[in-house]
Amino acid sequence: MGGGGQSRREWLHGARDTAPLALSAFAYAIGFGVLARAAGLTVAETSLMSALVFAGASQFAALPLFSAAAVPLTIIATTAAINLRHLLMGASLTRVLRGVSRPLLAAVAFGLSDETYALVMGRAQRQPLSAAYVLGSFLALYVAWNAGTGLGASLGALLGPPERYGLDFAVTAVFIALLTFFLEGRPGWTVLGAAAAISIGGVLLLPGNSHLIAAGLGGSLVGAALERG
Amino acid sequence: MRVEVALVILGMAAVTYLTRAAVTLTLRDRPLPGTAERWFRHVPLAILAALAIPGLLFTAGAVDLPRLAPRLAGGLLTFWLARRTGNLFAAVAAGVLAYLGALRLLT
Repeated sequence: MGGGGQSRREWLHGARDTAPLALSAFAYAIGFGVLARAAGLTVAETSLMSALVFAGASQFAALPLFSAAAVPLTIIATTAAINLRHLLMGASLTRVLRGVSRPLLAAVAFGLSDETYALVMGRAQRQPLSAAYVLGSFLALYVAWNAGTGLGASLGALLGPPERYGLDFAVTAVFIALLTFFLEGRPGWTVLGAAAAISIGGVLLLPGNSHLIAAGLGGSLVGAALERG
Repeated sequence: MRVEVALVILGMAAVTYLTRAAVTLTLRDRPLPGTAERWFRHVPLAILAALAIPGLLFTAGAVDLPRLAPRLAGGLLTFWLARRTGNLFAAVAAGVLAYLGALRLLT
């Protein structure tokens, strides 16, 4: 991982850039902790799930299944389906992390999430990406998610919904700002338009989170086809 | 902690890690064929659009009419500022403030 000082700076830089996302994840994790207790999980079980799974959307989706005492296979299959989008993200993340060792890449993979994926790909668009920067970013979100989960599970509903602080919109705003970094020329606008249309249709017609996979596949394939022809 | 709950959580963790690591680790350092390279280059923008656009329009799968105008105002300001300045933090902060302001005005 390169020289010690440089590497430490990259870690801190990654963590610092992630701060607004971590704050929002912290607030949502409090909500997750509260709801998990309401769904009948203990503090320890709730914390274990955030520590090992670390995937917000699928953790929220599992809660009604736990409280309905669904069969384990249903819960696990639902989790897998919601997280299939990571396959696509991993394919493009590995492109910008060439030369990173396998153990380090295994650690990076554990921390992959929508928010930090978007952040580190945005940085890679502007300068070479280091594994230290990515790990710093992923770790910041991991700490925030787990701290929030513990707090929410232990303290309950004292803090109120994150919507009150505009944090529901903050995440969307981060995605919008990041996508402008990728928006170059006519192919970019076409990919954006195609993915937007597919995702809107997908939300209305497809189950759960599958609009992300549909739009990720559809939009990027349109882009690839444009570049060939 | 109940053993059966812990086992389900372990199963969830295993399949989640598999989705994260499968492609990341197998594609490592392997030069991609040109077609795949052109394809994967557009994945981030497509996924960001799929995260952002429904976030502007929908809440829990339905059009969120009360918050539509505030979100569009905040979203357009964020888009414009990010494109003009390249400053992520400033663009997001201004967008959230515009969103909260419009929400207060309209509701």
